[in-house]
Amino acid sequence: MNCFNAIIPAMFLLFLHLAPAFAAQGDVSAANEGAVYDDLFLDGDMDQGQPVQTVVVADPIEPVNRVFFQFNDKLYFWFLKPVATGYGAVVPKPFRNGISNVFKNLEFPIRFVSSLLQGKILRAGKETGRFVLNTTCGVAGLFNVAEEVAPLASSPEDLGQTLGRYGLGHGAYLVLPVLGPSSLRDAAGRFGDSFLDPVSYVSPREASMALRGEKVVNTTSLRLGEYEDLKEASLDPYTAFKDAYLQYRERMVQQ
Amino acid sequence: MKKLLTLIILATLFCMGSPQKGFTDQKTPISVVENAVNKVLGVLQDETISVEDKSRSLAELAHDFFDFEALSRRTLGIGWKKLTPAEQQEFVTLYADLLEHTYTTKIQDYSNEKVVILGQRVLNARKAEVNTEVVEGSKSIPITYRMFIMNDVWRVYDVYVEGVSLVKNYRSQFNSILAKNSPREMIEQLRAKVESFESSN
Repeated sequence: MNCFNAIIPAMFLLFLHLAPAFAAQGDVSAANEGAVYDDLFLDGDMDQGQPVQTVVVADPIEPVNRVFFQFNDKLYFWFLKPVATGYGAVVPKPFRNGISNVFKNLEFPIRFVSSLLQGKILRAGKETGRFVLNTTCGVAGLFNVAEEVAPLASSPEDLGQTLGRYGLGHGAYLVLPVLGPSSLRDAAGRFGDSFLDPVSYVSPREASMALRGEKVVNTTSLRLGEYEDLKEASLDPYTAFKDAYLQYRERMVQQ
Repeated sequence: MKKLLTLIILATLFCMGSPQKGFTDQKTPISVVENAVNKVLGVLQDETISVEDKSRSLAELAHDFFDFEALSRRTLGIGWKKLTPAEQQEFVTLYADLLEHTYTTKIQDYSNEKVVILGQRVLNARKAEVNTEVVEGSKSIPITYRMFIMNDVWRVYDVYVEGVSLVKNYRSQFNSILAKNSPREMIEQLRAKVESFESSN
């Protein structure tokens, strides 16, 4: 009997002793849930012991950017989307994928030079391998045969990312008319990229412009609905696209 | 005294077993994601159920898979404490509706995409991430689920699509709203958004 009387306090002590171990492993009483949530998500917003990095980029010309954002929105819904939809109805998807591959293959110099400038020699080599394989066996890039070769995985690189890799920040967020979200750094990168894009050297100038137009329409026809989805899901589309762009570019720079 | 000792030993053994629980058999983060993906695909491919029932089943699955309170707290960050408890509950419900709607409509566009589960990475004692890829033709979209464990259940608190965190993206939006509006007005804007979905359906 003596022994039985001792059990209850003993169990109580045991519980006290083990409770922290329990709490640390996820068995939490309902009353304690709020505290755990706080601990997990509120204080300092920690991931792996480090504060979550939020990209903060100045937006000094926000009113102008918002105007261009609206302009691009209307351009998309009133012009680009109907054109791309009609184009998609006429040109079968496999052809459009092929055309997209050709343009991507032609951008090889951008990826090659950017990889080299970032000291990514192996990546530059892979890109060269891809380019040779797709241009020859893939009939001028129409078929992405290199994709079947796992070690030749492509990696999007451009001069904007290269500048980011060198430690240059965005400077300021920009919405470019027609081209969309960008920044001072990335717009400069794009300008540089255009010198590495063979399409820029097509003459006459009208032909070059036509090719660019085709590229935009073709790409849009393959991505219809994406813009609408993101816009529909957002409360403040301007901020949503700005943040998505900056997060996306951040990841590209880090890779 | 023997009885007491036995009890203590049993209790200790029982407790020693539990810390590893989180990372065994059916309860690893990766198995939770696998399970959820299979269930979702099962619902989508079942041709015997109506579109409405599909949406309902998908919503239920979403509620098991995502921890909407965690998502809400993380999204608002310090702003969470500026809401009254009642407002917090309101926010969680509305935000869940918004995400659920986005997720269920998006996923129903599913045609011949394939979900590949790549692996999991433990972030700390409570957190892990599961890397997946949605493959459609030559396109593949990397999707990472950030999960945490509470009461022995792994649930999602953030999703990264192509490196873009859903939570951070919404945080930037709510912050920009809160910069010019009161928490009450922010909740009303969220409600208007959710209602616009419901009226369009």
